[in-house]
Amino acid sequence: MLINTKAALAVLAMALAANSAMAQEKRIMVFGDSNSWGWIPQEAIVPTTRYDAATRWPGVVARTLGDGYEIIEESLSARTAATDDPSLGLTGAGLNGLDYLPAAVATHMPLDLVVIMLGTNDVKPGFGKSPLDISLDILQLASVVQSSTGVATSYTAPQVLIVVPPPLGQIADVDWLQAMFPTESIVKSQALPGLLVPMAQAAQIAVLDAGLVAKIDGIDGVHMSAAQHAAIGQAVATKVTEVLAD
Amino acid sequence: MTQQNSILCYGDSLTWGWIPVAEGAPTLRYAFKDRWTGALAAQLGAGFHIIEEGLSARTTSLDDPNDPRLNGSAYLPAALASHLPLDLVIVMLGTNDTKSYFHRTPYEIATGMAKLVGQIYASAGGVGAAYPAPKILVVAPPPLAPMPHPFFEGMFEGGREKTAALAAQYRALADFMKVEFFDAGSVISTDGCDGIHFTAQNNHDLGRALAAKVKQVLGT
Repeated sequence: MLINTKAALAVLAMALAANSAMAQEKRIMVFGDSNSWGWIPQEAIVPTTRYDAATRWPGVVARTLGDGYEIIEESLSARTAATDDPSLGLTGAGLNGLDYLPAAVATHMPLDLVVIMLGTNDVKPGFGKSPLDISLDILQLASVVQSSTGVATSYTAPQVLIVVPPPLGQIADVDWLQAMFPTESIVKSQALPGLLVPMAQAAQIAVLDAGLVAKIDGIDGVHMSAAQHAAIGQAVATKVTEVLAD
Repeated sequence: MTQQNSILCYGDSLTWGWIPVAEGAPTLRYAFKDRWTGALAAQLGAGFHIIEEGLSARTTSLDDPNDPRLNGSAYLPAALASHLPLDLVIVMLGTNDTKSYFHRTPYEIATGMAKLVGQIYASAGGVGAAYPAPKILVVAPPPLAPMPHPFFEGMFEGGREKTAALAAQYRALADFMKVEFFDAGSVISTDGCDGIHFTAQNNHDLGRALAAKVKQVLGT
């Protein structure tokens, strides 16, 4: 009897240890566009290939945070925060982040944190969005995360970290790219942090201005070198530990 | 650097890792090692990257009137472009299409699967890249079992017969569309206490069987 009790206690202790190890594993989903997907800037602009997982900034976050954290990538080139862009032929949710996000969060539940870095594509002239509109769209994404539920689960909604993307760089001298990101768009991307940072703070949502640590330095003026990915990854990792410690 | 094989697993609660509970819902998720995706990863070992995209209650191509997140064909094109480059997509869906309120025949469910297959065929390039479309493995979920919970029983009225007919429909579809096929019902039954979901053992058995199929498909 005594031996059986001891054996039962040992099993119970193992189960508790496994549970607490699981509870400590933090799951973080990154929701972004080409600059989170890992678009390698090209002299010919397109087509591109993707930085490997270790080079792109979500991979840098994973490596910096180390054991106990799982980073899940959900990034799509040309994604907007909440604007339809049928130009690339993706059906369904397509490039509209707001249409994709609810199912993505539910898919990856349980989640502790969703990191959102979007806004760069929203400045394209055809969309007619002001920096204020774009900031509000991104806050709407944050709100979707904060109110999200899984499908018939008892997991709680994750926290949110908004990363404001660095402003556009020197757009390459290619007519169609200049038309996609004219001066007006560059100005909008420069104005975004000045609105989105205080608005996020007012909404008590964690926010990081990536433009303070990295810049768009690719030859196309839209995408980033590996060094900038490393810089953003380091800064996000630091911020993530802060946010999850609260 | 050795080229890694990336495999996207696209499915519903059976892929997400729903732990069957006697009271029906709510539930929690199996740890990765006890999901079939995790068993697949463990079996394949280094050199394979498994990407999970399983969402409970997902259909192949139907809008569920109760939840706007569940139409598999609305989410898949953006998911594919997000995860390129990919070597293989494994799609196991169809169980939720048998819900009574959808009034779908097994053949109609196979047409939903055909829509997803078409989307994967069309996924080459993604957004601004030049990656080829991945290979495709269609998996028929195993037949549903008797459901103790009356709400599930109503939800899936007629579902057992329909799910039992899915394998033949999917096999025909795979032959027609020139993609790979695997019948999960050939290696597991639905043993979870709710009659719908998998036990951890089911997941291990399915993951092991799919690993053999994946190696065959990818020639690794």
